[in-house]
Amino acid sequence: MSIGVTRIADTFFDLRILQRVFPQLIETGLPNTLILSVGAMAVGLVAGLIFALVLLSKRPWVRAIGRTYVNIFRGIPHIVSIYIIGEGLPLAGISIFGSNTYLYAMLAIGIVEGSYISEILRSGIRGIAKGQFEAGEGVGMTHSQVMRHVILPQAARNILPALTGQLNLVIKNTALVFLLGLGVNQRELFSIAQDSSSNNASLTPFVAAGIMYLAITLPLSYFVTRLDRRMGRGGGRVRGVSKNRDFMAPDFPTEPLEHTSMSTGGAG
Amino acid sequence: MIQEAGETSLTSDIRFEHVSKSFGRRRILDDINLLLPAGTTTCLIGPSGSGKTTLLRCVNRLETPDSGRIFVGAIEVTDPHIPLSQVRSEIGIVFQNFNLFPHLSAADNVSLGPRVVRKLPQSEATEEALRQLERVGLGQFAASRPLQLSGGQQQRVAIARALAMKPRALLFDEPTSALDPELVHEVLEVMEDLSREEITLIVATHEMRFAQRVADNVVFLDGGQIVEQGPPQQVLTSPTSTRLKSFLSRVNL
Repeated sequence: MSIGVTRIADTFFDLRILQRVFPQLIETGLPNTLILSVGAMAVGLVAGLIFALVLLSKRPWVRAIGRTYVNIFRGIPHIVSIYIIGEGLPLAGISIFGSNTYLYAMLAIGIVEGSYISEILRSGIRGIAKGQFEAGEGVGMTHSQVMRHVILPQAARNILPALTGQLNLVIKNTALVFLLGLGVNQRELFSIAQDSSSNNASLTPFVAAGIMYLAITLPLSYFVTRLDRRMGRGGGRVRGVSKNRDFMAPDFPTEPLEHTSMSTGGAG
Repeated sequence: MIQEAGETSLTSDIRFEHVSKSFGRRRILDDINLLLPAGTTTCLIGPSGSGKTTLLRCVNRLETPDSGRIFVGAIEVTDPHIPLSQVRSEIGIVFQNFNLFPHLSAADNVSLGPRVVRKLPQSEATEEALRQLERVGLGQFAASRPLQLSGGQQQRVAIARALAMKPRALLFDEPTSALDPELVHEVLEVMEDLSREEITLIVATHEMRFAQRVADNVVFLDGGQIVEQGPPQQVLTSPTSTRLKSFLSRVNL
């Protein structure tokens, strides 16, 4: 019995190895993972917003471009996309970032995540009742003014939970950067754990890396939950209203079926 | 802006000339001709699907007629080259389901248009908003979110939101149909006050007693056509067509 417990402890929680790997994870791995995450998120959010608007375009051929992007990157394993973009671009002579592995990695992860984020944003915007567009246009706002002042602030709240989940995935997917080959000081959490694991013939470094990932992702989720609550979701009840259900923001992810055209015309 | 030369009041008459519209193969408006004098109140009555809502929405171009022309004062709103945002900033609309912006307080709902469209500074826009909320009796609810207000209060905020744009005409699309019966009165009261002011009102409604008391002109629509029109005493109390007679017998006056 106690031999079994000792064996489990040695496999996953070898204190000697933990002591050696944690400083490396904290000093080198954590900053690198954070840099990669923030960069990839930035690329992903920008790509996501652009392609969300592309997916909502009135012109079918513009929507087709967005649809193609989303279908390709959501339909290919991340590992394949990251090889193709991260290794492929420089090999094909498209060395936009010179030999900076991090920038290729951020671009690759960002483009992949952008395909998911664009769908989240698109359905968040579509989930806003059509009456909101009409009310905004009814006071004379142009289509883009309605988007900015009426639709996006509401969509932001609706998509917050799904977007947080996706940003958590971005953080976790930075582990795939090891595929592109990293210098000693470029190693992020996963590659440090991987190296340490093979040097010490132990799985303990991976457990340590897992703890480090949780140290990033759990506070993020907590922070977003707080933010969500502060934005007042689920506050106040409607008294004395019988038929204004479509007024209330639907919970994500809902798409009203009859919502066929979101633009009844903006500025002429 | 689109104010006519020599006009002292901002209010405008509204003219429909041969206005028709279909959705698919269904004809919603069939050759509508109508003149609503400036500053008057017109109630559109008729069964569901008769075209009341579509007729209203054509005036501020939330719908575009297939043919025919609509004028608000000297402005042809059906002109394909006219900037829609300008048309809509001068013709207010109040919706059946209020469509307030749920993420904004009552005051912000009202001040958004003046701030973004009329380009007023925030402080002036807020002042204007508070003035309009006061006008509909909701001064003390300026900071409330729509979800904290009753349906009747929400609809009054929506009216204040439309008024804050200083419109020359105001369209009401069945403004009390989504309300519980006990809340209808407070909204109709605000509308009755407005009807005495120098602003052209068009009200699509099922409230026959309101039409009787407040309207200068009642228009009965059925199947996309104007079947009868005239002062309420005439249209509502001595209808001539069988279609209007049978409609009035189905709604209780």
